[in-house]
Amino acid sequence: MPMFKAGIIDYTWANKPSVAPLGQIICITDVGENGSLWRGDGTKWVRLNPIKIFSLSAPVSLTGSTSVVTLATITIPAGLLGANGKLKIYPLWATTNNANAKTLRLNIGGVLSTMVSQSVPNNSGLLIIRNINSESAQKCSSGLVAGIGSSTGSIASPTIDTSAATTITITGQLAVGTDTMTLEDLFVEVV
Amino acid sequence: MKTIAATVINEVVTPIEPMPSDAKLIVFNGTEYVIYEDGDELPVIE
Repeated sequence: MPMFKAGIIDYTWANKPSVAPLGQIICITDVGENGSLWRGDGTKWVRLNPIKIFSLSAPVSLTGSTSVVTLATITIPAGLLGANGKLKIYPLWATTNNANAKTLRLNIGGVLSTMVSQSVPNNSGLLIIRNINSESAQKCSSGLVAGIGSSTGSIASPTIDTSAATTITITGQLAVGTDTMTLEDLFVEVV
Repeated sequence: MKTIAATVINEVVTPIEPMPSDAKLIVFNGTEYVIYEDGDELPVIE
């Protein structure tokens, strides 16, 4: 029977105890802006608050190409979401102000999770990936320009195994290579 | 200023090493990723 330890002990996500005594609080130092607090429920570690796990450090701009180009890559540690965790991805991007298409794509675990093709210069999006009672069964919206609202498209049901480390890749693509597309900011939150 | 070469993986242009976390601006110019750092003159992006 694991013993409850007084105080908050620091661990990394990889070396945290495999047992989670009820009421024990630990700090995971490598997840979150300056670490994050987790509380044992007797079986597993449960995060106490939403955690911002990634923030883009500098704008990333694309020009001179019509290929699909990686703008950002984020790794979600294995098992971080849990069976009912939600992943919220917030990109903010700017483009040349003309009628040509500029396409932003979010791939999660190799699965295209959303694609936004815009010609306007100022764009802010939200994609929510929701684990539904399983680390490998999700639901998310599809066909929504901004990520919130209504659409005639069906709700998507990816099967990304989030019990393993999962990569989020943000890509940009220009229809006309002389245009510019800039990922101005991006942050990712786990709730 | 420094550059990171790009490669194509599964039809996606990708940097060959992680992009730095201390850059001021990163630009893919059609060939490579250009990393602008503190003290570099930033390009005008339209």
